[in-house]
Amino acid sequence: MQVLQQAQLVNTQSSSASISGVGLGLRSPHISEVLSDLPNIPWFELLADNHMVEGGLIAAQLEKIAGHYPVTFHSVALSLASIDPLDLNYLAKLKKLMRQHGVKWLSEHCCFTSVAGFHSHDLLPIPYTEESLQHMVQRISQVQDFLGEQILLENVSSYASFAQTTISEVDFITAVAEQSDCLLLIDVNNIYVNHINLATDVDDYIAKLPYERIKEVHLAGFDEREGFILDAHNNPVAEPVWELYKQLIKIIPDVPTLIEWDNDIPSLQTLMAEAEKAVLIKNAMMYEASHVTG
Amino acid sequence: MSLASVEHEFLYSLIHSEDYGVDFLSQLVTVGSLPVEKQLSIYHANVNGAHQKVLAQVYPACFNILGEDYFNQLCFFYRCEYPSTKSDLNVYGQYFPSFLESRVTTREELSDFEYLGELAKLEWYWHKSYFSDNDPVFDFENLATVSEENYVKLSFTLSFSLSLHATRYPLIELWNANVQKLTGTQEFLMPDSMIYFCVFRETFKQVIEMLNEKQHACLTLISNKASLLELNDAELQNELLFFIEKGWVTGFLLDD
Repeated sequence: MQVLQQAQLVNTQSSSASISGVGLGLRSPHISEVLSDLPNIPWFELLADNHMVEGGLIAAQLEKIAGHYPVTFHSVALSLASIDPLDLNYLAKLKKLMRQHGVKWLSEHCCFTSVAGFHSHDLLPIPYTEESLQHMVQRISQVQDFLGEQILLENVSSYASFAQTTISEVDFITAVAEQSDCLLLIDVNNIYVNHINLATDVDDYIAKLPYERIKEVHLAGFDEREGFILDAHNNPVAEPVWELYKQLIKIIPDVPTLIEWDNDIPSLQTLMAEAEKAVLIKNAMMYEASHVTG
Repeated sequence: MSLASVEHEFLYSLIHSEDYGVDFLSQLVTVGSLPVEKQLSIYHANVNGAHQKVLAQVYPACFNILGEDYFNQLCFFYRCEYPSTKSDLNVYGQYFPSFLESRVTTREELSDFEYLGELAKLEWYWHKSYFSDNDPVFDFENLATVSEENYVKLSFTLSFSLSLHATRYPLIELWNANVQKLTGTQEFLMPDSMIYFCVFRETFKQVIEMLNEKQHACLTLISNKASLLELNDAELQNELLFFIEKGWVTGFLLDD
């Protein structure tokens, strides 16, 4: 037990530290509290789009957060899968902010959000085909060349099943990652949402992932709706999602994990309690792994 | 169907009404528990919800006056008329005031709300000032080096966060009452004369400040890049100093 206690919270509270342990998605209702109390949280992920402002409080807060904690960026508007040209202004702003604040990495979704100059402000899936694969590889390569670093690609929750799809989602993101040499952010809740809504095979999904490319895991809660579940990020992580997380963490116990909560946002303490659950699972799996190998 | 066609049809079906998506449904197949119509309707709801949420946050007083259902209906029509063309959701609602102004003149049920477009403008100014760029510190030293013969080329710049407004409605009272969601019937007296005010940001906090007619006129001249000579009136030049102290005038330009 002593070993577990020691491993539990690796909080460096230093912006130069690397990303490890269980972090939180930091949203505006908690920023003031975090900056005044500097709670024991190893790292924060920020929605880059919320911080791409010209001035004022939000810009000042980003500087302070990044001064105290290691920070990663998660963006929602790069529209990686879009057939429109990449928005280089957006990308340049992202790059500037990342350099300015020592952001550790950028993650984006395997989807499109805009086309023909119109923006949906939602994560829209694409059919998984050879054409889509080549397109995604080319786009991610372009982004990585521009940024001068690897990005993390996230699997999305989907409510649409395309007739053209010829490749499973896990095979698709694996092939994209390998061919573009990007890394992966695996959202376990999204795997579960797609399993319930689109009858995907979760065990097959977890088994086929390219573990060496997974740099981050997301955990979030869904909302039960009539006939489907919605990836609403408005609830605690559900039990079946924790079970899937255990399955994955058993294989890659060291992978940094993040709790995301974007709607009906609860107290910071509630978020930290969710993170603590993930810490316990990670520690148990790390202990098991060291016990087996040792 | 190519990726390009799928993306175009998918997005267009979401921008327009649900009926528009009928053709796109043939691109989907029922898997698991979701029939194809349901698949598309989930995205319709998500996209509507995201846009409504943003507009409700930017226009809380208009939301309170119109009520959730009517406001959401307007949001849908606004989205059809002004689909989002920027990735930045903060700028999505910029045409909502003029959209409301035109609705008020064409929709009978809005005929009692003739102030609505102006109220929305006030809310937009408030929202915009929060995100606007930080201002430079006024460079008096450099200004002192401008020779008198160049005054004709000398104009001034306003704070990025500053917006000016003139109205015949009790807008600020209406706005205050509705952002506080005061219940019961509220009565607002129509002002006897025009009301002038500006919205700006002091460090991190937005502020509304009343102006007199002359101040409003002077700031309007400055915003229209009037030269110092055009402001060549002792009273106006005194105002200029006051505006610099307030942080409303933040710099100057020498046009060639």
